[in-house]
Amino acid sequence: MNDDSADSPFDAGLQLERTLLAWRRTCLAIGVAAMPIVRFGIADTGVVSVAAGLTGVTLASIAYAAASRRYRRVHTQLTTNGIQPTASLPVAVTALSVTVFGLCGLAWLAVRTA
Amino acid sequence: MTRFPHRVYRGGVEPDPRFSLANERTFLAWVRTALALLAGGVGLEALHIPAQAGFRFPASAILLILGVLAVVQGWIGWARTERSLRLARALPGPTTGVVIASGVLIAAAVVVVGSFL
Repeated sequence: MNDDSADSPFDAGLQLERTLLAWRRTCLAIGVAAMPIVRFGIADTGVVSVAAGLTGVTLASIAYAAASRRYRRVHTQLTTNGIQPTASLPVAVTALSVTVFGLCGLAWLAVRTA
Repeated sequence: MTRFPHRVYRGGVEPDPRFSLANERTFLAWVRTALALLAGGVGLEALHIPAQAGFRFPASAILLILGVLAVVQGWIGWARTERSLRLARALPGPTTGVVIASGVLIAAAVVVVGSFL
């Protein structure tokens, strides 16, 4: 095990670290956005919005932890053989989740003004 | 290792990891933009901003639709940029960003007009 690679960043521009921070910012934003869902949705849609809000916070927490694990894995791989594992799965899952979020918001608006 | 969508990863070579990481961060910025738009759309309707309901509802709907557009554009832009990086081609330009910015301006104008009527 090469201890040097664990101490120094992959590149001087700290791209990998900045990407980890970007994931953390995004997970926080998703978690924060999930709370008003419960607050405002509960009047019109009751338990459904509580479930949706809890789901959002849970997913955001899981994603936050997964981002840290992924950072360590990618860092190890980049410093040993320079090949970067692709981000396609986390990116697709995040895009799908937020899209579902947005469609739920539109549904809420329709229910509220109907 | 999941490589999805296949259209992106089918040809070309592995790009410099730093560019892929920058692409990833750009996607996440679009996600946060989308969340802000969604929050604005929900908040506008839920917080009873003193504008007539006839104006509040379309503005709220516009913001929510723009929010969904933003995250979808974020994903499509990520995929197209990743493909361009692999094929060493020019990166796609900022097309939908203009649409979204214009939409936000329109929604804001609707709310302002509604507040004064």
